[in-house]
Amino acid sequence: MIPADPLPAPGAPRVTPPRTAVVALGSIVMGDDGAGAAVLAALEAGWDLPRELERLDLGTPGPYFAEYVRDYEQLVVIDALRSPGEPGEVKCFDESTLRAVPAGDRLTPHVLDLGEALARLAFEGRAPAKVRVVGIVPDAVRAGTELSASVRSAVPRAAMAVAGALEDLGIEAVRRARSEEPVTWWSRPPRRISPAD
Amino acid sequence: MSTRIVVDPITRIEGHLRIDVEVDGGQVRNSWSSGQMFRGIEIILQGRDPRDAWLYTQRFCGVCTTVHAITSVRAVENALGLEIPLNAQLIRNLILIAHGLHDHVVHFYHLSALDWVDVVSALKADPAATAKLAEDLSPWPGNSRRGFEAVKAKLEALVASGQLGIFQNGYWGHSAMKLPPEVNLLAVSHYLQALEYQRKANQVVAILGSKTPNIQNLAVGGVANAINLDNQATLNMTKLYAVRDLLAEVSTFVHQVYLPDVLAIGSMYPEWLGYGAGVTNYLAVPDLPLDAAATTFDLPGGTIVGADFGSYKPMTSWKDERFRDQVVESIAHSWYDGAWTKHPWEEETVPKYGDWEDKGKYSWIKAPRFEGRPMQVGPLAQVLMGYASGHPLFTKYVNYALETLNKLTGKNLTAAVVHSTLGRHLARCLRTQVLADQALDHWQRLAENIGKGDTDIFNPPHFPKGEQRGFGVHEAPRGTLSHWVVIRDGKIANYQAVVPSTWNAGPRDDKGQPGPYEASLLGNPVADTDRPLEVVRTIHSFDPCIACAIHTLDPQGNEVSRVKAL
Repeated sequence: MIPADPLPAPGAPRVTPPRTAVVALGSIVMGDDGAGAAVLAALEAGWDLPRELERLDLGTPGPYFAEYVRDYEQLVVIDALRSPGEPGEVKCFDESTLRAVPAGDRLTPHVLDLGEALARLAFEGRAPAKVRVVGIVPDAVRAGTELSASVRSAVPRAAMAVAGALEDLGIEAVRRARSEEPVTWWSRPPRRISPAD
Repeated sequence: MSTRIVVDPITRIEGHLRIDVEVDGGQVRNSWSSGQMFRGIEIILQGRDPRDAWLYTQRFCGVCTTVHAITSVRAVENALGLEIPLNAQLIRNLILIAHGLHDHVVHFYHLSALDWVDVVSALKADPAATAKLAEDLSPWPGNSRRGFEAVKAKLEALVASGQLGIFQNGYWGHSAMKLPPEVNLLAVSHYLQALEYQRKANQVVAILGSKTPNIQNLAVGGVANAINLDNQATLNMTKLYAVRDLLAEVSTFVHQVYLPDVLAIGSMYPEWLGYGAGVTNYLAVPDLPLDAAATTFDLPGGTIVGADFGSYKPMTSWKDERFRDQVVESIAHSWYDGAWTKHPWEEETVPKYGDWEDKGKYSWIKAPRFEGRPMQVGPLAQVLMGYASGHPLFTKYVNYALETLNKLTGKNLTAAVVHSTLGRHLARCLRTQVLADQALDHWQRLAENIGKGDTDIFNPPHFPKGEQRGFGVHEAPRGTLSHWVVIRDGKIANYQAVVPSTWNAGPRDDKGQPGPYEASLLGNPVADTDRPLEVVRTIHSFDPCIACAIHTLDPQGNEVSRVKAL
């Protein structure tokens, strides 16, 4: 989590790619709210990603969001969306959209207000230069470890959108010829144990 | 004529809490605390392997992940009568202490200080005078004139941009704001410094827990931190010293910045030592066990009834039968089917949503009771148990705080002033002082035990056929947390979490007794019903976070106050 090298001086030639993180938000025990973690798992299973690319499963960090992302120059945030739309719809936007959202209107349910978090980082002088958000419109947000059918079928599309956002940010994401099985341990059925006498 | 004010949502942490108050003659006459979203996570755990429960319970809430993880493994260990190795106790303790330091610092500086600090007023401060004041208060080296100038310049730039951003929703210029500009500038500077130090505390959680949020190092029966001083991949001296350095830095901040700030700010709001007492029955559980069998503890537990120190009854064991038998929850005013009052092992979770009815059901939160009484939990309860039991560290810090406050205010305050809105802030700060001292002590205990050659971290659990019942407790940053589990043939048959904010934010019970939030608001002043800052102050003093009781998906965003005239 601690960056290996300091921020370059303004105008200095870069020797390393910008520090970048893919951030999954949402609760994996609240149905479609956990879409972010499922998309991150699909991304890691289906794409070869640079070792330096941080992948953060942050759950529902509320006001702590800023603290976990303050060392990155670029962020791709994956989350269930608050905006209207068809369940399973994938929507992408960037920091200009975030800045245009009035204070108090939250695009995603998990950062008190992504704009507010970025404003705090800006006040500290640590705002990421580029932010991309890949969101899925949820169907059912209620206690449960599984996604609804519409959101589940949207996961590959959303992972593709995240890979596209990474390419756009100069981070190489190479589609594997064959995807591995995504690790979504939380949605596995309960394992069986045999009690001893 | 009275005015009804709805403050909704009230927290800056995830979780949707709604507070309704009736104001008449500038005072709160009646109040209701309501959790606005059903969660029902217990259902997910039914039928699962008890060894997996902690991985799910720590997803109850994204802020207090650690506390639900550790309480869950403690509950299962309690059901099995399973002891864990001393190293495992101490590693868990260090994680809990670091989490507590992190959480308390964040609560004061980032989630509630702006109820008392007027950021805009800091623009009028003289940095040199601020530095002089700061030097009188503390030896902290981060209080230079140039530092204050830089922060003031940052604030000026922020205000000039027309975007207050993080400070957008503050109550600037409110008549209840009383700090001089220099104290406001000092507080804003420390707001920024606190961001650095809370992060160091969280790094300790990450090093020992392998990840944060959501630690990964637990197991029913111990921890998964392999100890080998000669191996780079395990817990070794390098990692232990990294932990020690971080804890030492955070302790210095807590002693030299947090404590002087709370005393200085508190001394300028002495009237708030007179408001907000509410329920003065207190409950805390013992925590930070000092041995493998958990027979002695570094944080004392017990009960105090009716603000009477003489009523103190200690709780000295995690097998305490009084605690085990006397916790119940009432749903008389909660949106569940029925009107029962039941023990957590016997509860069922059947939601039944209705309208918000002030005389009927009005919250998703249940109303927990202990020996039939509502209890206030949290750092204040913890400090009172420490003070009543004569715990040396709690006694030392309580006495120091009272002496300093008396010096600053010229009053003759006694320990009774802690039953108040400001008292809760003070108590949280004093608990943090104690934790800061204990952090280094527990580190020492761990290092010495490993130095003796003990590298045990895990005792494997065995699940017998038939039924076992257990409860796990933790004195979390927001107070007493308990998880209750019923295991049948190796599987979870029932699981309930009775969380701190359920104790504090819960509604009335079957006898009509209000919960601590509700009771604390009665008699609170409200100068301006359009800007009910005083209500927010009292509720924030509890450190409200109800994600674990409920969850937010609030399409309204930041609606701060709706005012209805009755």
